[in-house]
Amino acid sequence: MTKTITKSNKISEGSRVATILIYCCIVAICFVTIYPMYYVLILSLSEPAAAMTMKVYTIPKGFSLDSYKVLVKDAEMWRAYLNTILYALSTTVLMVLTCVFAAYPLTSKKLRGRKFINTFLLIPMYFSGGMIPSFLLITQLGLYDNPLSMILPSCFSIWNIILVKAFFSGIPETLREAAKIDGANTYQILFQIYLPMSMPIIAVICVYTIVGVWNSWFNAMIYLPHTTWQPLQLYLRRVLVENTRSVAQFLDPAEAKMLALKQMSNAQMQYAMIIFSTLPILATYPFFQKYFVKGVTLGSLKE
Amino acid sequence: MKFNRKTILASILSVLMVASSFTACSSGSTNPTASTGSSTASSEGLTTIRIMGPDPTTSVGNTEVAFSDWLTNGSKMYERLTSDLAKYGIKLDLNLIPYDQYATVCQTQLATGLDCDLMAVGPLDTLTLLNLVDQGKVQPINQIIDKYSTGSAKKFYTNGAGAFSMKLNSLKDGNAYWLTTITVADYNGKPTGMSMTFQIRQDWLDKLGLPMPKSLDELYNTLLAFQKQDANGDGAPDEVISVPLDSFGSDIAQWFGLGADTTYVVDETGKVTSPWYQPHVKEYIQFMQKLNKAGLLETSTQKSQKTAENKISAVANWSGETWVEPAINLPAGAKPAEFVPVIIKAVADQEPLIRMQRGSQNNDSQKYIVTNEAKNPEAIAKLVDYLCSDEFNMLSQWGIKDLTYKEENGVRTKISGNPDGDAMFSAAVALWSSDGIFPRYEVGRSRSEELKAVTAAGLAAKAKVAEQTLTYAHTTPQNPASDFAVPTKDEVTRINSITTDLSTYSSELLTKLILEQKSLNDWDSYLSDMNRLGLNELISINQARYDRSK
Repeated sequence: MTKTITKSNKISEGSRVATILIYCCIVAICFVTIYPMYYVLILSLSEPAAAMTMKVYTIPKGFSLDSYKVLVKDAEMWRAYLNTILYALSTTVLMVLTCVFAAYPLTSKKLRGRKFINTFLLIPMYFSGGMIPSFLLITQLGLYDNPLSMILPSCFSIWNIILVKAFFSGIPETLREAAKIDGANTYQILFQIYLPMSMPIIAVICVYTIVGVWNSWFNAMIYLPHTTWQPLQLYLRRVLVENTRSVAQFLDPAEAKMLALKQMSNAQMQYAMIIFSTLPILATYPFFQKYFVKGVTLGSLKE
Repeated sequence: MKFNRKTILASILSVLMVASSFTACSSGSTNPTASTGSSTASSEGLTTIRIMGPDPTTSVGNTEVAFSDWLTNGSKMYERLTSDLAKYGIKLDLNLIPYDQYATVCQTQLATGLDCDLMAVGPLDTLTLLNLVDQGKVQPINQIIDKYSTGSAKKFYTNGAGAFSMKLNSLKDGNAYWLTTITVADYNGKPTGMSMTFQIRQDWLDKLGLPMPKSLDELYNTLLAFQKQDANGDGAPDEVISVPLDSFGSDIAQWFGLGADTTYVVDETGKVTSPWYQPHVKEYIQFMQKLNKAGLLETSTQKSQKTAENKISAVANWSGETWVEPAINLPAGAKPAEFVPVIIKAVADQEPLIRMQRGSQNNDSQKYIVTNEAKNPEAIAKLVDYLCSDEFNMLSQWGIKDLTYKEENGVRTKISGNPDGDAMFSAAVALWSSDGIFPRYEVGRSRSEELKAVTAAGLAAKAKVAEQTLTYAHTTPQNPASDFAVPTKDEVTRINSITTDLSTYSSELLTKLILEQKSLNDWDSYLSDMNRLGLNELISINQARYDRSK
């Protein structure tokens, strides 16, 4: 006769203890995630003197929109905003086009060398030449100090091609065959059958690309030495970097004074700048949240 | 094989795709900003000089003004500069890079090839510059001046205020490959730098009826009294002093006869030494430990916040500084804040030192080279002639008469309200020389005028004591590195390999000793560690550099 040992779980699924623990963790994570942004917001709205002390924790101390007023009058900031919107839109359109046009032929089993091309695409996904070869390539292509250096290198992604390919592979092959029987050519199959069915993955790619381009600044720092075509995040970085330079490092009192005065006038502006540059993403995120979540699962390969 | 339209199109696209991967493999110039014409081609009879440099900015009220704004907004200052240069037969072609990006752009330009005649290379380290010299990418500026200068530059750098700078910037081959910013300020006709001192809150001393401390014990008791009697009136004993703990540049260290950096020159003997070898270094650390134990030291990284919160009772700073007091939020009815310098004799057999800028200061953090792309050295010499002229000096420091300054009976006063003047005076000098495209030659800067400005800012007590420090006899270099000649390649390689670890060890050790996280009883082992890390070798390298500079 076998003995059955049963253990009773003190914390089991659906139990009150588990629920309370999970909710506590979620609240803590929400607080840690949301509070820094809220802190920056209330600092940007407080009186400048209170903002310099940084002792503003729950509600703004005083109320001042001076830093926002200075910001909206800054033509350079608006130019940077426009540049970022231009880069985000054009890169997204090109990204969708390159991903779709690269992924579609790879789903055709009749493509010669398909396995070789798949492997060929995977290698640069893991390895790249590094910054210096990339810089030399961009300059030799004549893209240095050119806004196209922000668009062209970012307008394709092997990972996104694989995502789209995986999605296309999930569409039944019989649909393609049926369309062929009905007399559709390759382009008609792609544009009139595959694309309309692929809106979810295209939305995912658009969302990830827009957020990625919106936040990028490093390529601009390397390839755009003049402010005319620089994006918003590089402008923000400029404001923040100026405020972290130490006055004590200056060997001349006149230069120390200049930086100290600049830091005093920039002290609150950096917070306003952070809010300003994040506003579009904050405003649009609720509408695209489901696509972020979908993007995590859509990456799983189905063949 | 059937050759239908689809196959032909697919073949053409495949060939195009493969061919496009070779487009970047050209053997042509990799230079990202290659000009189409000759680098200094004459135009309208003027020779163009291409200059690459940072685009400095300054704050005027709530707005930022950049040098590039002068170019685009029809600045009278820039118009005057270009018309002056036209008289010398020169026209400028400027490539201005935002200041925060300039270091990155310098390095990428080096990777792809220089494409300018004159370039600001402050962000580049000495080893990189020496490599550029070895590669023939930099022309010797002293030879250009000797051969082509028609007067001002030759006089300035041979017998004038710039002679010491040319000597300090010379390499072992006797040539100087870069120009640096020069400040020659005078006080009563004598070259005098500005001092740095320990400064205490005079308004708190007045509020609590305390005298200016004259000894270390009095200083300690005064700082304690600030806390116990709540000098800032916020109800908490939070009044602290803000001095660096990780370096000897605290101005308190100087009272014990210590220099400001890991190695420095003792002016009286001309010998390079280290504060770690000085007889009273332990007493300094013990005094700082006493301050720390009493909770009188600012040990967080929140100096700016504490300044704004009116919690700082003393600082180590330039004696004539005027920018800390306005940042303090005072309670209603409080007397205006004022930090006033104080010098205390800390030990019986040592006169207290103060950190002092050299009267003739060579600021080698701002360097300018003539590249091998400059095909017209005569034009470069003419430009340097203009930069060394009184005309340029006046334009850079004062601007345009009756526009940015007025002169009555030989006395000049600034005119505010003019945008060019406001930008210039908030930067202390014209924007092209404020760590910009031209080296700054501040010759004839008057310390008396500077101190008048301190008084005008409502800091009369500070100005009075600061003026006394200008003639103080016992000083140590405020910037020890400015006394040393350019290192050779071997020296700079050794310096780079030594200073990384040694500087970290020295600053951590000093901080831990002050905070009593390490004991003074293991002193010998600390010195032996620093020797192992190369302190003695660094001292001998810097001694050799100092000897060459004389």
